[in-house]
Amino acid sequence: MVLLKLEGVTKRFGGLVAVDHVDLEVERGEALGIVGPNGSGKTTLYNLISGVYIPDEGKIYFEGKDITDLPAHERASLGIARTFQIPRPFGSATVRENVAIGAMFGRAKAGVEEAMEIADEYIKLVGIYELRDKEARLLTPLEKKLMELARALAMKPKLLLLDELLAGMNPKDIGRIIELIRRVKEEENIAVVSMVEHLMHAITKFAERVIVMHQGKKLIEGETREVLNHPKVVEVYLGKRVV
Amino acid sequence: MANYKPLIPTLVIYTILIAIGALVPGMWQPVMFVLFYVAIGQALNIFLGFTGYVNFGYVALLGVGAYGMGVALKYYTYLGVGAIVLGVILAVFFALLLSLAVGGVALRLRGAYFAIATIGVNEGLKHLIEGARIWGGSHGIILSGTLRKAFGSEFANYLSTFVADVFLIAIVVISGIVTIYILNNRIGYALLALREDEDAAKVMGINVTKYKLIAFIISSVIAALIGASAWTLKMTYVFPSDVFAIGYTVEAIVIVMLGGAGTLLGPLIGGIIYGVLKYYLSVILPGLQLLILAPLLIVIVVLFPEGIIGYVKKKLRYTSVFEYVM
Repeated sequence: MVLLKLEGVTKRFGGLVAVDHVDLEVERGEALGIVGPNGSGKTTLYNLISGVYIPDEGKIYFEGKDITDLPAHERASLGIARTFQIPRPFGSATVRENVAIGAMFGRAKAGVEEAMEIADEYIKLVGIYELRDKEARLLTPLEKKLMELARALAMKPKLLLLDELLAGMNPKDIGRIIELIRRVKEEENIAVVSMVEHLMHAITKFAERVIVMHQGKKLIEGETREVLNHPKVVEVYLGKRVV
Repeated sequence: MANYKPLIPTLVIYTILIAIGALVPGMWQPVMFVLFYVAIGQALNIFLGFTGYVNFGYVALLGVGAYGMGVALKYYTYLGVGAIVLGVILAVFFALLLSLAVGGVALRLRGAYFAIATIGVNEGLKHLIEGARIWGGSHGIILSGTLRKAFGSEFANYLSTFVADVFLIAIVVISGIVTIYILNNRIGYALLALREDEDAAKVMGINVTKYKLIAFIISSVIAALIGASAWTLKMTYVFPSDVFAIGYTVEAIVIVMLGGAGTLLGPLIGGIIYGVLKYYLSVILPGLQLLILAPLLIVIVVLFPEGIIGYVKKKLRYTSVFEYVM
């Protein structure tokens, strides 16, 4: 069953076409990878799905409902959650409060007490329980990323958009986080879209299907290993052989 | 994790203040003077402290509240004591009207743009009342004679000396309780999130405009009640140049920043410090109080950028008294 559907979605910034007539479908509970070099339109695509930007052209459907013009907060209530490439914690709040805010206002809409319990559960899950009373701004970049993951999960989303979540992590953490996301995805039937620039190795372990973006367009789409070894993809990343 | 313990030190401080006023001869008026500053700080804090948005039109809300009470007492005096009730209703009604009009439009703007948009509100209202000669225009509303005729001089006196003060004390206590209620509920967390990062708050499902508007309206209604009690009832006159004086906006901002924005105890401590300093400096060095006050405030703000309570909270973290400070 199709959870998210994009039809000919386009976003321009002045003369630059950041996202150019992109069609995209995400199935319920699917693990999708979006890869593409810097400037290929990945983050803009996320901003369009989460409602930070409204597309200039095209339509976005979530569970069959047209959400093209829906404000960001209503999309979150429907079940779209995301993390940011550069984490954006609520700095003066504690880790626990940050995650609880996710539970209070996402799809979960929990009361304060209940939200704190949900928060504890996800903080434990991502492995930063000992930091729960620390102010979020004092965390390391990695801890902030884990906190954002917990915060997004506490929203009880149906669609989770991860923006370079794994970038900058060491291989041990990457393995642990991929395992964790896989498990939550299965348990709660969340469709997870993970966007990476360079961590191809990680994406093969995680995604069932991959979309490659290039200059705002969808270059190619298909089964992970097949796509990543496709000559066009290699060309996008490494350039054309000239001699 | 509801934590209402910080209400204990708050109520204790209120009680001490009122006790000093009631028991020490000659202290009642100074205490009420200080409580007025506590009140305008607490009311503004609910908006400025919780959202991080600066409302330069703040005093206009005290002003319309003062006019609400003034109009009721002047033109509906035949209602007897009912006129005071009507005054409260009118003050709240005017505040709702103004805050919905200003907030509904301007709160869609971000940070500094909102501040700029609100600057005009106060001056605009003042000139509207003066220019269009509404409710006496620049001559204002003078109530002393009207009240004496309607209620007799004894009761009129009782109104302006006792009822007005009790009214203000009630507002101070209630706005303290409202503040801690907000801090402990979903609305408080929504405001915390949008103050820290409005875009992140949006994608997490928080209707930021709605919550900003709620905070704005609560702050405005309390401000209008302060205007109705501490100005109209107590002074028994309303002059547009007095009730729309932008100086009060600045003072309220200073009190909130000094005490600690977005905290319960902040505007209380800030209001006490500011009020006491202002009162005694105007006694000791009349006319020069601002010259002393301004640099003093700069020093305090430089030393405690998060306000006094923000600083104290940081120092007390991980101690057993931490949960009493909010």
